[in-house]
Amino acid sequence: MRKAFESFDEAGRDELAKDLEALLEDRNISGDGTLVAPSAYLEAVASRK
Amino acid sequence: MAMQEREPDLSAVKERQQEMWATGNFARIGNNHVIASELLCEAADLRAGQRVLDVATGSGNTAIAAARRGCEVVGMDYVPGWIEYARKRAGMEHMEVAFEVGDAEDLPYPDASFDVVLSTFGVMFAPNQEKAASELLRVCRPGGRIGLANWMPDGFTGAMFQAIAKHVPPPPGVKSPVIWGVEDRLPELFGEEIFSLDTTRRESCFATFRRATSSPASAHISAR
Ligand SMILES: C[S@@+](CC[C@H](N)C(=O)[O-])C[C@H]1O[C@@H](n2cnc3c(N)ncnc32)[C@H](O)[C@@H]1O
Repeated sequence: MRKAFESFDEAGRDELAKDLEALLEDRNISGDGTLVAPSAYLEAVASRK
Repeated sequence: MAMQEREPDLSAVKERQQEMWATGNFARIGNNHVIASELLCEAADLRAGQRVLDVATGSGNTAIAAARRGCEVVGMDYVPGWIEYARKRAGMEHMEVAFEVGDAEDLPYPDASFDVVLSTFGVMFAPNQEKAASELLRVCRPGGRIGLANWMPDGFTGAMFQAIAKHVPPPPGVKSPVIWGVEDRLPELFGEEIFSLDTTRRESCFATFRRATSSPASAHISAR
């Protein structure tokens, strides 16, 4: 992630930072000053033939 | 160049990714998601003595969860720093886990050498998804199981990867890692080689400090 940031010019960096900030804002359910962001994932178990 | 556009240079993509993973904070990355490793081991119904491979083991979360259940475990990752860290960690708990450096797209193991092959938020990052999936199948013995935990596109982490990809687009032809979290993608990847597939949508929480700075995220997230 840090690398992702380093690979841009400043404008690009600000844009990405803004998007991520908005995402955090949107997903944070903590109700206080901390971050609590539920992250959905798919658990899959396959049986091999 | 036109040629390159049609055939993305996946090894260059992988090299850049490897550099990125190597900059993570070894002690921290994955810490919020130990629960996914434990749950996956339960879902895969591990039995003591089984040979288990954890692909892209990182700090060893899933390998160690399998070792807790008496399995004979190999944890593998392409970042040597992670392997060293995972080894220390298992050592602290007096567990014997073999941690080895290797590539998910080219597993350094013979065919059918494991009873169970696991990967939590790991194999999904391999740029050549078909190759990575075929490697999981190859090293898993007939009748064995493959257990995965993959970020879903609509979840917080999935959305974060997509936001980053919007600004740093992957080369054309490289598919988004989060499609491993779409149910329909797995039958596509495993094809006729599996006879059953059970999927469950779960959530794991990022709970951490939130820094009031212009930095994009908390220390935990920026470590990723
Ligand atoms: C988000 S971390 C997950 C680590 C661990 N499985 C866990 O659940 O905590 C992703 C890991 O995948 C590894 N990785 C990514 N691509 C890989 C590849 N092609 N071969 C081996 N390891 C890879 C990275 O080095 C990193 O340790």
